[in-house]
Amino acid sequence: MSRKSTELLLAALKGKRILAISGPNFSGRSDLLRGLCRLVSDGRIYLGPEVYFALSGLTTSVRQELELHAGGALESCDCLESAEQLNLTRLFEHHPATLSGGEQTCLAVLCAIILKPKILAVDCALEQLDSHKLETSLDLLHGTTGPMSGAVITDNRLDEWTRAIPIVALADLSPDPRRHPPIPPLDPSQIDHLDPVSAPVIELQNVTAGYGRGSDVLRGVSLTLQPARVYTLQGPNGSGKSTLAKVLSGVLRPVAGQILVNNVASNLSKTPGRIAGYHLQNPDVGLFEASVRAELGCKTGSITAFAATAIRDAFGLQGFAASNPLALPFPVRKRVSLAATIARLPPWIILDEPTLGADAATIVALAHIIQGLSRKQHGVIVISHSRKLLEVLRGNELKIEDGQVRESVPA
Amino acid sequence: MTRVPPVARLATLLILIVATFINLRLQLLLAVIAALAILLATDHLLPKFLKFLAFVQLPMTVMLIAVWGWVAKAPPGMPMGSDPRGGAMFALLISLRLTVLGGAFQLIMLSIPSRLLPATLRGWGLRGEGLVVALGVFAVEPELKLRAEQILVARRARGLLGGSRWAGLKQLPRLLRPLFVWSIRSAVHRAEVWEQRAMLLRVQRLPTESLPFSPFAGAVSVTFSLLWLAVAIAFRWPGLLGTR
Repeated sequence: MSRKSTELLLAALKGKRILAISGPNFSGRSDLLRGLCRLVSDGRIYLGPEVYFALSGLTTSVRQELELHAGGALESCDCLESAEQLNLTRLFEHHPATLSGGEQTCLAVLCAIILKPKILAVDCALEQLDSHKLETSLDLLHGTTGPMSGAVITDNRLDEWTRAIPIVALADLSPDPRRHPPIPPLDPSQIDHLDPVSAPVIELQNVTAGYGRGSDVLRGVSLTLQPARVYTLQGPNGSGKSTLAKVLSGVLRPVAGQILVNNVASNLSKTPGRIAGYHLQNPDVGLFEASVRAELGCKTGSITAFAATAIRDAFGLQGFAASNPLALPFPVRKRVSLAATIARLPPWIILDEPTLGADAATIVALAHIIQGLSRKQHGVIVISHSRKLLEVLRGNELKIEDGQVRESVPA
Repeated sequence: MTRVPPVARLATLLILIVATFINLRLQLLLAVIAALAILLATDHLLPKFLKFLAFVQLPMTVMLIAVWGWVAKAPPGMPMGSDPRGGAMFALLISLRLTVLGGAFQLIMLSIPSRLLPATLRGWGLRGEGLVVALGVFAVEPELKLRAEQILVARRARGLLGGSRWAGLKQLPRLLRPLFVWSIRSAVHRAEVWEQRAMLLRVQRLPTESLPFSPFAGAVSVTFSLLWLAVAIAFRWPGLLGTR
């Protein structure tokens, strides 16, 4: 991005507390924001989609991270109320790395705000927040006093925001040609080439699960999941959505209760990921191979190359077969990680925040891929804060709150 | 140990190191290890110490005894094959010294509460980049462990790995690529974050007011380490402290 684009952006920001930039994936939004903070780093802070890297890595508790940014004891600074609003006070003694994606985002946003930067560039970092935390974060960004002159935000959910925020199109800021070559769109029709599967009924009976003694996240959850359906799992940040996904995929063993698969009591943790494959929020922890081709499982022989190819094409990854997945841009890494989970064709597929970094067109196409999988008799559970995805899917709603799950069928 | 002030903490560690190297008696080293185990238990660090014994010290002891007692069959400075028992005893002495040092290091370093870590490191004279590096060293271990666990979870979630611990162990080489890339990416991103946020200056300003350090705890800690030093000297050079 040229200096001219940066100057245009600064001119657009003048007199505003928050300015959003709209534009599709790979149009150069991130480059513009990074450039904005790189050219004159003094007083300008960049907060990217990988929010965890925005934390210092020097502290072992949330309290210490906040104190590091505040430059003093938390009790004597004015950020305690903001921490309370973002539900961070109950997490003060937790290690920042152990927080859920949404909680890490809240912490990263608050740390950045505490510094009162002249410009805060928030690049798709708010996408993991539930609607309440998103509103609170925008309130904080808007109401921050001091030398902060404004926040520039890119977000793929801008059209879902209830708050009216001035938006400028990237095309108006960047007369330069795109830096990235065009990346193929998702192609849901490829899913029609897959063979149908036979997914079992999964039933949870009074399941309690958590991470250690006295920290149960799910408490006595009872639930029956029917195959060939799409379920959307919704709830506030840190409410246990990912924990439920871990239990269903067999990654986490419940401390109480039992799980029935086709009416037979089963210990899913003996064969994790076989009945329900689980795509984690963070794509980087789920990419292991040196090429996209190997990542999708073409080499393993456990699935047909035909299915892997169809899924590769469905996710628009034809041109990346030989690329190292970990060297690709974030939205493409996310696609590879999603495709790799689906390519093993588990009867149940659980997708945790599949829309992170995806623009509106990609979200709609992704919804169609998910519906295609359900037509092939896969059971699909989607965890997402993207209203657009949930609206297109119109799946059975699973709402999780206070360790309990309740189901509702859309009218 | 949590309330021992920084200087007393460092002095205790240094005295323990010196005393351990002076001492030549296996029985004394065993007694010190027992004392350390009790102190580690009071600070809830005994499981870590036992893990250190099982996975580091025990294999090393076996190797040392094999080399000096079975291959060389003599302690250093003696003709090979002349004294297998002496060789084994030398290996045992080295091993027990390392056990004491490992235990002392764990007791002194790992008992620092995270809230008091910056103040303690500053109390040891660390400033600027040195302080940032030291803080990073303390923070990186739990972070690496968590990241490695997340990668194993991701492999399990994709059905690439069984649920048993043995299956997890077999997959360790598979952790390396994502872990390595994560380390590099983390370093690059954080260099930018630290620069943008003037982290070097912020680390200096971490709060130090009303720290619960206890001079009495510091005095007790240093006194005990001095006692161990005196005993070590008395047995090594009996005439030096008038104990002949």
